[in-house]
Amino acid sequence: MSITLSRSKAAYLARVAEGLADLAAEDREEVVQDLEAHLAELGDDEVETILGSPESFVAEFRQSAGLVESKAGARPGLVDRARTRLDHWSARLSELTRWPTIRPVWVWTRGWLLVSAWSVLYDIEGFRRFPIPSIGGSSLTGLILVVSATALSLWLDAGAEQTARSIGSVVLSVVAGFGLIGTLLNPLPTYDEVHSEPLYLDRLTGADGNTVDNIYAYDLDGNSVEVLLFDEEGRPLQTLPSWVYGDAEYLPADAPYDYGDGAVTFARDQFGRIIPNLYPLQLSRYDEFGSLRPVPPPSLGFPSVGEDETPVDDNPVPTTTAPPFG
Amino acid sequence: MDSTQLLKGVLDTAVLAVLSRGRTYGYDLVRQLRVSGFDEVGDASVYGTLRRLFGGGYLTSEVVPSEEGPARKYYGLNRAGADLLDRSKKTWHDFAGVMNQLLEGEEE
Repeated sequence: MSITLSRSKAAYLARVAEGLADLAAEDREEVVQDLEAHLAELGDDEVETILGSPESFVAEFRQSAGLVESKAGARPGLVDRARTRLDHWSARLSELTRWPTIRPVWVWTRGWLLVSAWSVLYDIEGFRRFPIPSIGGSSLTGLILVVSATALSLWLDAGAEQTARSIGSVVLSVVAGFGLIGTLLNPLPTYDEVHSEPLYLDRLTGADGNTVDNIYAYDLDGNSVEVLLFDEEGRPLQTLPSWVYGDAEYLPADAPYDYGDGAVTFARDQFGRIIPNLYPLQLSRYDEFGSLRPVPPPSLGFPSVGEDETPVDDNPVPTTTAPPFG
Repeated sequence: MDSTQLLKGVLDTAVLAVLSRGRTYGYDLVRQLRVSGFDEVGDASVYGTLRRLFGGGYLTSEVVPSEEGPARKYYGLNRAGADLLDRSKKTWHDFAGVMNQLLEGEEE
């Protein structure tokens, strides 16, 4: 690994490796390993003075070793070429950005990204338990997997001269790449949590035992009103499965969230946060053709006030505007 | 005459001779060759020679961690390498003797 080399030396090493890309991975790694230790003995400003350019080093090495430069048709394997190109790009990027070489950083972090990839794909809530994703609801399992995956990553990289490990290293990098992309596409929540702990109704059922997805409220004149519902402790009432609210939070405003049984579009406050307990929810259901259709309000004989009863208020004022949330 | 061409012909033997003193790593091998008078030997040539000799089964190698930097690969002679060095010495002495006689005859 090029952990101890300066950027210019790492770049030199990468160019030599590129010049030897036609060699078998094992042979090339042997040369790179020798040269890496050699470069560590030289000052940055004397590398090309003593060794010549990377191209002349390769040419002299080939001549002395009795190697003939490969011709078309004798190209190295895909894995070898990919490794060489990645090392080259890493060194070039390091030169341009003046960052340390990326490969060691990548080797250390791809174990974590491997576990993150799992969380992103299968357990988004676990992924949000930064920095250690929880797996199967267990942070301890996540920690053990991160440590194990990091050890695997280091082991594969240390044995890069062996083809099997080299392939394993590339496969691990590809999977970890998905984790990286998932991490970038699913940014961790950075807002201040202002909601009180919601009351998860697991789940609210009607008198017939069926689950309640939505709640409709009416004033005494039969006008539909929007309401914010809380329990006696001020906790917002939520009727859908709890994970729906978590996942929908990260959607663009007004985007319906398809949670399998249907889709819901939550109202949002001025900061873009969903208002989980503003009812009725805007729900849609799949029709027989597989299209989502808004669920209409229930048609019911509205329980008007009995004729022999006296209204509480002759002029009830329905409100269709929810009070400020939060 | 150009000593570089001569050097190429004897570099294998020179590398084997240095390694016969004890195993060492590439940079130190180059340094020992320079100290011995091979000022113009190219570092890449030494590594190419090491690779060829190792590939031919004449050398051992062992990677040893270093506290000062990357791990170093130490090369040493195995039995085949020691035999090759013996044969190379004889060839060199025979060749040098012939050349010396020839050159001394020229001087007379």
